[in-house]
Amino acid sequence: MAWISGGFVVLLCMVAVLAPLLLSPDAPFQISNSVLLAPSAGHWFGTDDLGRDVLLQVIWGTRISLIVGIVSALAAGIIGLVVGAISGYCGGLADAMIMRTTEIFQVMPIFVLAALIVAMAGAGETRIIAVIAGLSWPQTARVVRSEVLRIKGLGYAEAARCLGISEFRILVFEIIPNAVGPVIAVSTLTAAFAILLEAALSFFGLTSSDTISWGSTLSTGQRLLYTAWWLSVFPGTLIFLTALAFNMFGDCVREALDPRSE
Amino acid sequence: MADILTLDHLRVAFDVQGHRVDAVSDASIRVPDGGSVGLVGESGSGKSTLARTLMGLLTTPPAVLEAKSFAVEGQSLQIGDHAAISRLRGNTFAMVFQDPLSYLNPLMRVGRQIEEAVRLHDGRAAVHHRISELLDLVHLPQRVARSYPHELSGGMRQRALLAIALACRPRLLLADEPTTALDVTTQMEILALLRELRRELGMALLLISHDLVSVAELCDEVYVMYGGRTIEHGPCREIFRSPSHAYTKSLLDAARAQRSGRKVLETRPGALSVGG
Ligand SMILES: Nc1ncnc2c1ncn2[C@@H]1O[C@H](COP(=O)(O)OP(=O)(O)OP(=O)(O)O)[C@@H](O)[C@H]1O
Ligand SMILES: [Mg+2]
Repeated sequence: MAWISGGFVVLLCMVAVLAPLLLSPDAPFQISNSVLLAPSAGHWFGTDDLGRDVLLQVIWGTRISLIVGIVSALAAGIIGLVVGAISGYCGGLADAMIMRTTEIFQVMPIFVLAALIVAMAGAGETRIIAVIAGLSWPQTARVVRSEVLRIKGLGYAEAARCLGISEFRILVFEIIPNAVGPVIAVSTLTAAFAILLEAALSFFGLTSSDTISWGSTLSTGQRLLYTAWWLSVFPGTLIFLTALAFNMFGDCVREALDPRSE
Repeated sequence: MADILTLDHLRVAFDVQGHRVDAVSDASIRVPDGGSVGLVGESGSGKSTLARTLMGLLTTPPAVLEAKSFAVEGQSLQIGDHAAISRLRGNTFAMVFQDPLSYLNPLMRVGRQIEEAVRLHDGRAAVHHRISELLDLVHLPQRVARSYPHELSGGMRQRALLAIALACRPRLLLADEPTTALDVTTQMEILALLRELRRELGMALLLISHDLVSVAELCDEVYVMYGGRTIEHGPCREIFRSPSHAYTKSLLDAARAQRSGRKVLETRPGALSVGG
C-alpha cells in the first residue's frame, strides 16, 4: 500500500513538474476540427467539444490540482499546529479565545464561503489556496490542542521538566513531535478536500477560464455526460484516486515516523 | 554533616471542585548531604506528592503548598516559589520514576534523550564523551544510545532513565518506587546500581518505596508516612528493630509475614484523610 500510494503521489508530482517543461504552454488549448472523439490511439483520453486533447488537459491540470492540494494542506497544517500548540500549552484565556474562534469556523459552510469569496474577489489559485487554508486550519488546531493537553501531562514531559529543560524546548522537542501523527492524518484529508474543492469551484465555473485544472475539464464533461463520457470519467477518476492516494500516503508517512510501528 | 534538604511541616492540598483535599497534611523530612533516606508508607499516603512538590511539578492552583520551613543546601526557600525551585531541577534535584517506559520520549533514541540533558550542562564538544560515560555508569552497552525506548527491557529502561537523570550531576536523586514495575532479579540489580552510583558520585538519595527490605538495604535513615503525615523517623536499624508507632509495627509485620509466606490479614483503618 505504501508503495502504490507513494508511487502514485510521486508520479503525479513528476507530471506536474515536467508538464510545463515538455509541453508548449498552449498545447492543451489547441483547438482542432476533431471534436468529441472517443478515446483512440491518437487521442488516448478522447477530445472535448472544441477538439482539444483531454489527456493533455488532464496532464496540464495536474499542476494546479496538486499545488492547490499540497500548499493549502501545508499552510493549514502549519497554522493549525502553531495555533493549536499555543492554545493547548498556554491554556487559560488564550485557549478559550482560540477555541471559540475555531468553533465559529466549524459552523461555517466552507464550500459556500469559498464560492462566495472567489466569486466576489475573483478567481486565481493563490486566492483559492488562501481561502482553503484560512478556513481549514481550525480543524488541525483542535486536534493539536487536544494532543498537547494529553502529552504535556505525560511522564516524558514531566521527566524533561525535572531535568530543567525549558518549557519552550519541552513543547518543541517532546510534545509537538508526539502530536504530529494526527496532524498528518488531518492534513492529508485537507489536501484531498482542497483538490475536491478546487474541482468543485471550477466545476461551477468559478475559476478563471485560462487555467486548466481537473475540475474545469470535469465541468465541461458534465454538460456532455451522455455523449462524451470520457470528458468526465478521466478527470473524475484522477480526482478520486489522488484524494485516496493522499490519505493512504499520509497513513504511511505517519507510520514511518513512529519507531514503534514495525 | 550539612543537610542537602530540610523540609518542615509541609502541607499539600488540592482544590478539587470547590473543596480541599489534603494529599500531604504534615510531613517533615531531612536529607543529609550525601546521605540516603528512605520514605515508606502505604499507597495514597502522599509519598509521590511530596517528591513532586520538591521537583516543582505541582501546578498551583489546583495544588496549595505550605511549609513552615524549606531549605536546600542550607539556603532557605519559599515552597511556593516556583522560579527558585525550577532552578534546582536537574543539577540539584533529579528524579526517576516507577514506570520508566512512560517517562521516556517514545520517538527519541535513548542517546538523544541523554544528550538533551547533557547539553544543559556540558559544551557541545564534550557531549559524546559524556553520553558514553553515562551509559557506562549505569552499565548499559553503548549500542543502547541508538535504541528507542520500546526496544529495551524494563531494567534497561530504568537504567536509561537513571543515565538521563544523572546527566546534570544532581546532588540529590529522588527515586519514586524505581523498582516496583520490575521483576525481582532486575529489582536487585537496580538497587545494587543505586548503591554503587551513590558511592561513586557521592550524591544523596531519597528512596520512596513500598518495600522495606530495599530501604533497609540502601538507606541509613527511614521516614514512615501514614495518611499524609510523616509519623516516624530514625535510623533504619532502630526503626526496624523497635518501631514506636503502631502503623510501622503492622507494616513490619506485614513484610515479615510476606517473607515467611504467611497470609497477611491485619489491616489498619483510616489511612486517607479527606477534606479538612
Ligand atoms: N493532582 C491531584 N489532585 C487531587 N488529588 C491528588 C492529586 N495528586 C495526588 N492526589 C491525592 O493525594 C493522595 C496521595 O497521593 P500520592 O500519589 O502522593 O500517594 P503515594 O504515597 O505516592 O501512593 P503510591 O504508593 O500508590 O504511589 C492521594 O489520595 C491522591 O488521591
Ligand atoms: Mg506514588
